[in-house]
Amino acid sequence: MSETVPIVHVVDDDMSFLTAVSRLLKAKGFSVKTYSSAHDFLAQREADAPGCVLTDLWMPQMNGLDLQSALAQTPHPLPILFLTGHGDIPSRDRAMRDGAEDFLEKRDPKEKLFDAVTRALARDSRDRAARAGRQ
Amino acid sequence: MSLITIIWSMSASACLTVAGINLLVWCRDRRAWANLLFSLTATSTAAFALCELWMMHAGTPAEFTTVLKLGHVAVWLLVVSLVGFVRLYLKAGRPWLAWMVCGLRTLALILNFLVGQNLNYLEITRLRHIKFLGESVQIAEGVPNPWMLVGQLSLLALLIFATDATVTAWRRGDLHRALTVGGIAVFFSLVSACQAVLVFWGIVRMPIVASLSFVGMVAVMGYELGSEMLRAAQLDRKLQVSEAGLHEIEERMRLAVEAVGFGIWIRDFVHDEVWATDNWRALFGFSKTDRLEFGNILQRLHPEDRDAFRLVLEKATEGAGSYEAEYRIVLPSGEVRWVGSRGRVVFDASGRAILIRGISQDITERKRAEEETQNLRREIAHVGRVTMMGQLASALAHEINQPLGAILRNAEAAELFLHNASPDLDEIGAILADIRKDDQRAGDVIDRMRGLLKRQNLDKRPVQVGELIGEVVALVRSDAAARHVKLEVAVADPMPPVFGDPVHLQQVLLNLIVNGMDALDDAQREGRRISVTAALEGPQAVEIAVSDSGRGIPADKLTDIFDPFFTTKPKGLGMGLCISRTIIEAHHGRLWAENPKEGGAAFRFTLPIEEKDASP
Repeated sequence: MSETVPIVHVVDDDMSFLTAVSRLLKAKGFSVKTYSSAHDFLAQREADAPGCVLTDLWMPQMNGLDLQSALAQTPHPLPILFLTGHGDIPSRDRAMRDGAEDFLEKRDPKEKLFDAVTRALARDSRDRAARAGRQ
Repeated sequence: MSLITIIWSMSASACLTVAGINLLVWCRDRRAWANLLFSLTATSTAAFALCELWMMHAGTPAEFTTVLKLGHVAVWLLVVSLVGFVRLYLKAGRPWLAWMVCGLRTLALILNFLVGQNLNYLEITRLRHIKFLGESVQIAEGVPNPWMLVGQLSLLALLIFATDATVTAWRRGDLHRALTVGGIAVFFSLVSACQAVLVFWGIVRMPIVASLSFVGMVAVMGYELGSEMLRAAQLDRKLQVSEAGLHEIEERMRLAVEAVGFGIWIRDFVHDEVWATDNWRALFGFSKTDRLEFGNILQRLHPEDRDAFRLVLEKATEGAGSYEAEYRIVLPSGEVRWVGSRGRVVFDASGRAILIRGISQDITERKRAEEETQNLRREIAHVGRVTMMGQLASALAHEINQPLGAILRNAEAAELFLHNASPDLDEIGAILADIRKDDQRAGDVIDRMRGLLKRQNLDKRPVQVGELIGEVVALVRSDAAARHVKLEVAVADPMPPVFGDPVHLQQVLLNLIVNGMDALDDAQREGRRISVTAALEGPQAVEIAVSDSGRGIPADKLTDIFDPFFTTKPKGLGMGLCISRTIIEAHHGRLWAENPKEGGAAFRFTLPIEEKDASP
């Protein structure tokens, strides 16, 4: 298992928010990559690299939930965190049921965001270790 | 009394009678110049006939000379008036030929008084008795005057002139006149000219009887003129009969027009007069005896409508040929009425307006009803907008959270950067610029919400169709995603801007898309799709369609759905489509629904590319 730095993959079709949130995560010391659509992320992701996904829930073409199911079918799924403009209980329930790490609102306190990202990365690390143990 | 005296004096008196009748015709109708000229021709023929009679009974050569001299005055008048008559009556004959005839004859008349004893003789040596028509008459013997040629040349010119005029009239198809006036003039002047030539050059010994052939001419032409007058009189009588019929028709029309409340007015440009029916006068507040002038009618119009109406009339008289207008009038009592009026212009051959005929009608009631409907619609539109705001609120909350979230994250990032020992000031500058940009975005969303809420009249301007659709789609995107509806947009390229009020048009699109999503609520999740398309519809309109993949609209409801308070939704007010149609019609477009072959329902509306004048 290589010792590469884990990366936070941020996916949002709103360029403005994408830039802002990646700045904040970088300032906190995370390594960040940004994508303006779920397709872009799926096409560019490096398989089996450590990290987590932070995605907007509502996007044209492929939305956050679609991305979650697409990712779940790959051999190396990443933990996923959702961001949404405002609360949407049914979507939240579905996302959590399908194994999302967390479901955040875009204007939640930054500590909550940092905690969630840290947890997601830790979980990824555990998952990878478990997968390595199975092999 | 001798036979010669009887023939000549009767001819003269017949000529004088014809002359008198034609003079009378001219006195009655001063434009009948042909009759006056013919009267002169007949008078001079009579005078010349009397001169001939006198010469046949002259006692001395001196007496013969004097009478012949006077006779030439009569001949001058005869030739000149005949030329004028032929020219006027046949409307033919070359003017230069006419002037040549008159010129030569005038020269001959002058020579008649200046050279020799008269135009025909340098000297009359003696008179001689000869037998003529069984009687003894005098003829002159002497030295022929060579200047006589000028007079005979003038007769030759007359012949040519009359022949030319006859041929022209004949070719024009005026056969009857050409024969009775032109042909006869040619024939009789030829006969009398020949006789004069033979007698005066001493080739034939007989008295001058030229007047007799002219009398023949006067008789034929007089008959022609007389029958013409008879025809005119008959025509006049017929006209009187048909005029009575016309009056009857006019009465019936007036009755019909008054029964339906129309007023008729006629403006005569030639005589600068205005005529109007009694109920037109009543409508405009004029009494039956008031003198009507265009100026004082215009004064009755509402000051705000006056110039517009004047312009409409100008357009009509400058070639459009007809007009249609609605305007207000202010009666002397201060009462304001709405009048609808339309009319047609009559032009003369040169295209100048000579007459306008128009009808006017009191449309005050209709206008009031229209205004009330308009107010009601505005109320309904306002209520509709307010209820729609409920649906909008969640969409707008999402819209506004987007920039606010970005602002928050940027501010937090900047704070963290500032805690560093050596903060990256460039990065912080970029963050501040982004914060400013997102603040602007949030402000725009709020402005849009305010625009949707405000009650306002249409504020039309060029609108980019792509932008219009894009903005509405952005508003509903999150809602659509939450309801698993796929939104597709296809705008043809190039697409000219339409003319309309963007806020109202957004409202229509929003309504149609939200309706579409409602229709998809019970459809299979996978197939939920709404497409918004825009394409050119002919050269002057754009057609925008919102189609969904739902079950479509029952065929018998395709028109009902636009009725107010028609709804299939438990919570719906049933005003959305009604308001949408009102808005599209206020833009001079159409909104309708159909079930396309590929399934689902489609709402289509058209918008004009160019602005159309709203009717006043």
